[in-house]
Amino acid sequence: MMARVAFRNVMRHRMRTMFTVIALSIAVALLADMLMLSRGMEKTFYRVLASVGYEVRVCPRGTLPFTTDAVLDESGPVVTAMNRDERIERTLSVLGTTLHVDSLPLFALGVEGERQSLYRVIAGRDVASPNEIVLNKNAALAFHTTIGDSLQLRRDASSAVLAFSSTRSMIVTGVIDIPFDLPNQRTAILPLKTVQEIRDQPGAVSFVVAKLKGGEESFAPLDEQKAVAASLAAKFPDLSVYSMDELLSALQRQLAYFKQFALILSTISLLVTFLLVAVVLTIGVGERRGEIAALRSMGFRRRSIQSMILSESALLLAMSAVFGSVLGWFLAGYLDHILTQSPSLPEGYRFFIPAWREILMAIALSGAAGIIAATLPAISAARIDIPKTLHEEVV
Amino acid sequence: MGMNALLPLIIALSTLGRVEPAQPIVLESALGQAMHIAAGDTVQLRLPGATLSHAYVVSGFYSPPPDPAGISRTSRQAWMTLPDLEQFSSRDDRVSRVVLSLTPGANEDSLLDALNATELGFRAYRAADVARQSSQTFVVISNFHKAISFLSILTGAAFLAAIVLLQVQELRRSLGVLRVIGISKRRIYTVVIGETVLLANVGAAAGVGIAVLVSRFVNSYYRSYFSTNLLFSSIEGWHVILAFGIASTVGVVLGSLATTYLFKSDINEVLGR
Repeated sequence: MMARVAFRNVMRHRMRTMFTVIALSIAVALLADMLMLSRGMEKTFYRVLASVGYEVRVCPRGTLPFTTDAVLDESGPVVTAMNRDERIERTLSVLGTTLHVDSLPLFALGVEGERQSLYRVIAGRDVASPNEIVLNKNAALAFHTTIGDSLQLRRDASSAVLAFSSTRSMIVTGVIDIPFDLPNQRTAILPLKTVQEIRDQPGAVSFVVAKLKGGEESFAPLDEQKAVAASLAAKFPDLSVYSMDELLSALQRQLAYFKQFALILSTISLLVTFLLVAVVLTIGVGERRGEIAALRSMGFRRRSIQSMILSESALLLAMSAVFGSVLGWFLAGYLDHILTQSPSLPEGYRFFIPAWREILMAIALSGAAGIIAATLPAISAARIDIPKTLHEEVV
Repeated sequence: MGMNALLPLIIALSTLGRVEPAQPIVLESALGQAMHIAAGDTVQLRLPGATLSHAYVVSGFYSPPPDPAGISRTSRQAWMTLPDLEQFSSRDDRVSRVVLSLTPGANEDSLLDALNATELGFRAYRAADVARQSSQTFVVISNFHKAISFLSILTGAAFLAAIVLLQVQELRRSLGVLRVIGISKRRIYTVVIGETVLLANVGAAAGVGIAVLVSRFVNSYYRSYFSTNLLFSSIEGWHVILAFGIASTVGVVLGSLATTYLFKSDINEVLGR
């Protein structure tokens, strides 16, 4: 009964309701998007790490993989210690560097390890001997090479002075796909020893990753990851050792700004919802004092009046939830498009990942803020002095 | 010529006697504070995994100029002479970049063309081009902020529209009386629009006040968080003018719409006849 009255009250002022719903919808959409922003980065990081599939990483102290040119000059002891650890199933040593084909730079990764999951061969086959190389699509396209062609690699860009510097002839054996490749980046995979020889740094690696036993399809339990990381850190105090959660938090620290931005904007969205519902209902109750007093004089109980005002709030919020969800879903795509224009972002990196979980959470939080905001005008409406109000309104 | 030691270094305070004269090194102030190193101290540096270390005397400290691109950098910097770094890293005749300072009036474009024509395996850039390229991320973030600002303006406008409609409906009766006693529509328009513009500008003033406080908080928090002197947020004159400009425009548009909506009502209905 009171819900029907509330519906009529809301529909009586269509323009006002429309503007209120527009404002509330944007607030709900923004809240949903900020929740998506907060979770989207976590999901992306996790997806990238999951696609690579290794749980423990050993890097030069204070660095993260590929964030600096730093290398472990002597990687042998690290790999030996990992291979001796019974909890570790396999390791992969990686040395990243920039090489050149003519004057074009090529990001080369030297890798060594069994059953690697760092990249996927999509055509041809993987490297098997020191003079073989696999390229990503960008590199194959830029160098106009196909499987079976040879490629002349140099450590430095070709020039008049360096014309006589040594080149290394490599045979292209396949085309690969790397999950964390940068857009337009030309990437190649070579045997680790070949890259070390070209760089004249025998034994050097950028990082070593380890896959633990018992987690072939997914990751090994976190406790085990931490235990392995701790034992390696104790053996190599000069290096940084990361388990999955430590790596995730280290990566997220670099994007702390977005997390905090999302938190601040979420709070503001909730505040706007609260204020909007409180102001609209308070003025609405003031406008309908006579009507409410008449209802009370006809025998409507205080609780009924309260439920009428709360129903009005719920109705406004329900309409806003519908429009806000749709708006939030599309807005997430638009905002993601803006942020992913940023250079140096890995391909497939997403800031906003539209998800029903975040939409439902935004609706629940906005609903709670709206109902709390409606409580005060509802109490005020229920406590109207009937004779006095009827006298003022009628006379 | 100094060179930034980009190699990861392991630094430890030395208490050992020096075997050979130690070379000078300048450390980043934050590193000095974190490791309680004072000028004149001797530090031992070695590459990760290496067993041999080299002794250097800390000749001073420096704070890197504020650089937004390096804000998430966790590694610390040290400066030493290029020959010292070459000896330390056992890598000769290599530099990351060479920077040139031109004589006043020199033709930058022709020099750039001449350098790039040499084909010596490098590429020359103007400082401005490098700055523009490295600030691309911040341009993207700025676009993101603009999109959020636009949504905030939309929310504010819809909020104001709802309030103005409520206000106008509350005033229906008195406005009806005003029309009956001969007050012109134009005057009523002016009053309602004036009231809406005033309300919007009061909101803008409160918003600017909150923005100033938030801006101070943001600067203080992020400067401490990232240990930097960068200015993260600044409220400039044109921001304030823009805020009041948007508020006034929204006020005029919504006031006009609300009054037009009001005048569509039948005067007898308004007066309750």
